[in-house]
Amino acid sequence: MASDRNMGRRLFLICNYILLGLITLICLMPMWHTLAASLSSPVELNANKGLMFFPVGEITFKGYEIVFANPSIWKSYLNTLIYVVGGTVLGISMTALGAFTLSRSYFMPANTLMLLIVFTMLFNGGMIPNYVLILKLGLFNSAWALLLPAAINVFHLIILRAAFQGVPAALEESAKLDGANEMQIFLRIILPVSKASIAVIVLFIAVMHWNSWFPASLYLTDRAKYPLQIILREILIEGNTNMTSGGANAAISIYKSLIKYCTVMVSTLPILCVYPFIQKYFAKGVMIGAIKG
Amino acid sequence: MNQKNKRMTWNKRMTWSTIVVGSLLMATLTGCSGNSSQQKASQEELQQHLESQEGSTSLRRLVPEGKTVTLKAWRPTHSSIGTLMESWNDTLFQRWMEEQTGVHIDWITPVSGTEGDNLAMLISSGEYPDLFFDAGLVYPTGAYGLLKDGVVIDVAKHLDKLPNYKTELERSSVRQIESYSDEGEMASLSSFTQDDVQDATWYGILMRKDMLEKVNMEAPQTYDEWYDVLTAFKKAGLEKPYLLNSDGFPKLNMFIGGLGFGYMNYGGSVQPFYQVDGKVRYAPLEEGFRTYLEMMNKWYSEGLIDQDFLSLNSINAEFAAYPDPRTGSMVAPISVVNVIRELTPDKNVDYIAVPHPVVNKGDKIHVGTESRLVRSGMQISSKTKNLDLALQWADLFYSPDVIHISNYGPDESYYEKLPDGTYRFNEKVYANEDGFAAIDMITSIADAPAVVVSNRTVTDPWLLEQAELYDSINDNAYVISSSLTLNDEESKTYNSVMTNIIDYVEEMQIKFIMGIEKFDKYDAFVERIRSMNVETAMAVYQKALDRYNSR
Amino acid sequence: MRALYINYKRHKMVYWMTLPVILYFVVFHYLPMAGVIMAFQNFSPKTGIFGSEWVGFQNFIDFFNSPNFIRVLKNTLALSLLDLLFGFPAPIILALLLNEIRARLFKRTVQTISYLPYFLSTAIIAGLIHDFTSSTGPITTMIAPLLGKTANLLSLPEMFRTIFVTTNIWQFMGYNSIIYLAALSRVDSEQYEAAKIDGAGHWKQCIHVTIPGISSTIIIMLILNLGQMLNVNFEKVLLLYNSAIYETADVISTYIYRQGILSHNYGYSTAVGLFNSVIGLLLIVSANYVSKKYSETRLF
Repeated sequence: MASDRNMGRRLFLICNYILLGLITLICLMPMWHTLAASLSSPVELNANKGLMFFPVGEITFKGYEIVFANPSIWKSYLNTLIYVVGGTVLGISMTALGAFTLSRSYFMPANTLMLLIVFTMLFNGGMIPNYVLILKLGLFNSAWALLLPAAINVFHLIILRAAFQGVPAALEESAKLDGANEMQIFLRIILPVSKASIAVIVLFIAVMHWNSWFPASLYLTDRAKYPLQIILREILIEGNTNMTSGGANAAISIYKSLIKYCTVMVSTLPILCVYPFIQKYFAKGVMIGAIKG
Repeated sequence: MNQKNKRMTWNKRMTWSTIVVGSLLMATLTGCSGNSSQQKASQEELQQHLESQEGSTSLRRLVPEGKTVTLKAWRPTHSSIGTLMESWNDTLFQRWMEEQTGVHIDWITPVSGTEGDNLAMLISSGEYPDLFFDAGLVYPTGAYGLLKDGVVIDVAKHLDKLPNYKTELERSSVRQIESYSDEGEMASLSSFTQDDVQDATWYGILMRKDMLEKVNMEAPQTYDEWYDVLTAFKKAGLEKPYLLNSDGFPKLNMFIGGLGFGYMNYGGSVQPFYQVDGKVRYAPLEEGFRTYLEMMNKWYSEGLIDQDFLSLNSINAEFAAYPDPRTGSMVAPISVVNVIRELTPDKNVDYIAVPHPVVNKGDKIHVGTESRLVRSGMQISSKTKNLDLALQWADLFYSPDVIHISNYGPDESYYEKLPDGTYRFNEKVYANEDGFAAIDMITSIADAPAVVVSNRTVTDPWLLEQAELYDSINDNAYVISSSLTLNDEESKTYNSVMTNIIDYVEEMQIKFIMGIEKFDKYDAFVERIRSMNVETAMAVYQKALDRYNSR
Repeated sequence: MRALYINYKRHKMVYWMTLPVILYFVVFHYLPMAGVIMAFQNFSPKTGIFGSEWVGFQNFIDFFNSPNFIRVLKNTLALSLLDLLFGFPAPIILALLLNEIRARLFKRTVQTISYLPYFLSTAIIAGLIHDFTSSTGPITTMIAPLLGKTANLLSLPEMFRTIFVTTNIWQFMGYNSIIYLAALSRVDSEQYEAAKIDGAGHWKQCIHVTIPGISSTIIIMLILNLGQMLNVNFEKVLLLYNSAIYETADVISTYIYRQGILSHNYGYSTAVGLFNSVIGLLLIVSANYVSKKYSETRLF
């Protein structure tokens, strides 16, 4: 019996490793393809169909040169960094606060509020009223126009609320007996034991701000405040509008697919580098669970 | 104890990051404030100054000496912004204008691709700028719609304050016909082509020169000859003898004009109708349309057309396909040939321009590409507090002192005078050291001529030669002018009918070409279009065309 | 009301802590929600939200009467249901499989790499799909014997749903699994010990400990997914489809987009958005009700 079970277990593990290895390969493939493509020669890249394991044609950094020749790119990198850090700090504070109070069983209006909040996930007034709101609040052309409206993502709030609900009530009870108020419970008990969930939400919020470009395109008029994504979009998309006004811009268009791949590398690499550091907290989350047991 | 310590560091780290972020944020939020050294002119002294020089046609300061004033202007972006310059204020011409007139322009430049939404929101928020450039291109009802909606002023009512513009406008009848609406209104200060000379066609039909030599054939002139050449290309091993756009139709009526039907293309926006002898026609109802689809169906099924043509659904995809050495022929900007020559590793690959195919040798075509002589130009907001200033500033663009500089810029080192008295941008522009595209260089020098020298931006004499090939057999007789206007009621009827029809036709034409629908269903297809009330939309258009013709 | 007052008296702090959150939702969500009245207007930017002409339910009637309404509704539902059926469980399975791995380095590598596709922009993803499914692309060549012909896969109406859903799984599986991995890390290890003592094998542990441990996360995610049912990834469809396969590929949002090119009608598109939202609300409320009834978990 026991050996049968062991055999089965071993077989499962082998299959599991193979399967996960395959999944990894399939998921790695497009990024690898992108990296190879971003170093390829532009014409051969355009003619190439299918998966690329190595750059085609002579290796060239032409695409990166074009991308980094853009005078706005470094400034926009810095802007994005500010928006991401600012947005994440604001976001996680607000989201955690909301998730905490709405997860307290003794907070009577919690469910009603939750319903009203979920409602906003489904219904929104669209672009125009939001634009007028930003204008009337005097947030136009300022970083707050990007940060404040995105302060709480309902999805994140729900996730975090579920996590806080899962914190054993005994912890809270004992703190209460020591005379702690709700704020202290939130800061000293709930936050520390929910590190893993907080880390996940921090990652989600950061990625959201990193990729965000549409609000910035609506609310910022000053080029010096543009985030990276807008500059990259400009590099990519421009030329389309010019195509109707004359053929003189054809040269740059030939480079478009090369540039496309380069912009992906430029815009994803930084966040990919940050990920392992956040991932560490997932592992810590596991550890805390183990110690508790 | 240990755990407490850990908690402390966690909290501390949070605090630190908050402080860092906070200060960073504050820095960006407070970092921007005005730094103008010149004094702003008061409304009173400005008005006085303007009145004193009303009617003047010469280049002059519009603001008292030592003072400055700011106008706001909405204008789409350009690829030269962000690469060559930071904003529209950085073009040599705009800097020069500001120096000469004392008027500073505060540009509102939306991110490319979001112009339409941006304009709609600007208008619905009620905070208009003083001037609009090219807003008609993205407003759903065009430049005329902006006037109808009361966003901009009727320029015709202010002609007495626009002496230079009035002179240019009255230079030719075509300028007046195209500038006024049916009701005698004028939505913008039109932009003219100098001496009413058409720009050369810059899209063309291109064919592989090396392949023609290889199969030992002449450049084809008729559709039958095209079939033979493409078949020969295929036999010679070429995978994609002919590239077709993802909607099954080549750009700008190229290639289909010889079958006697076409579409109107107004700077990117396509209108479905054309006209024959003053009567509005719709291509899918014409015999030539069926002939075209049957021909494409045959070519597609025999592998003469790129089997993946459906993927050419964006400018990027198209441009990626052009230099592909497996391609035999295509409709593309002629200038792309220079790039292919430069970039393709196989130095044998070369293209020549070939004429529009026709049914019988010597036929003329009537719907080619249309370069317009008169375009809609600057528009002035109905809410501007500086109407007189805006009018005088805009009028200066038509002043004899400004026209030349607005075309070639204030720096004489960028262009040269040719023996025939015309001008041409020089190597500093075309072969600039930094490798910027010529069109970007030109834009950064002279961005907004209101009276445009024709073929100003053509970079290569070879292009002009090729373009003549197309223009010589095309008389544009079937063209409908872009300045034709529908009133509110008419455009509502037109949109409600044509939106669905165009969608239906686009789906069906692809299915016919790919053989998904068989041609015995073709009559039912035409019948369906009629049942969707195409005649109503055509009647509406006919009315507008009649009004235009009687201008 | 009185109960509420007593509750407030007792937990003042919680009420005050919630205040900024409530303020945020009122200002940034409920105020602009006034914009939905555009759905009942012939909206024009010039006259704005409060000055545009009222047309009642005309925009909705136009939508329901449009020639392809049934087709796009059917396609939208088909894509969302398939995505729910295959795309929803995928990240859960991935998380469970990863959970069985003890080799830490391998686990982390798989985890990090599996979410890579999420970071590629839709334009790149679509470009890759176009290349791979072109008439000479690797996937086309691979499945040609099954199909019995070689053709551009994106020109075959019967292939679109498969392509769309498969690539969706690949794109989002890794990133979505993060949430389940975090949930798994919180499953009480005491329960595993207890199960082991009872003689449960790994499979039994998975069924009786692991899955129940993350079931509330799963249910919440499912309810949320149902709410977004009709919002198919618009940009991706737009970049992948073509008029030859409208039959299976044209969805509500792309159809509206094409209609909007000519008329740019904000009122009309708001009406369609509102229709999507109402359906989403119905789904989310009923899913929540069912879940409340049969399990402990609920969203509100």
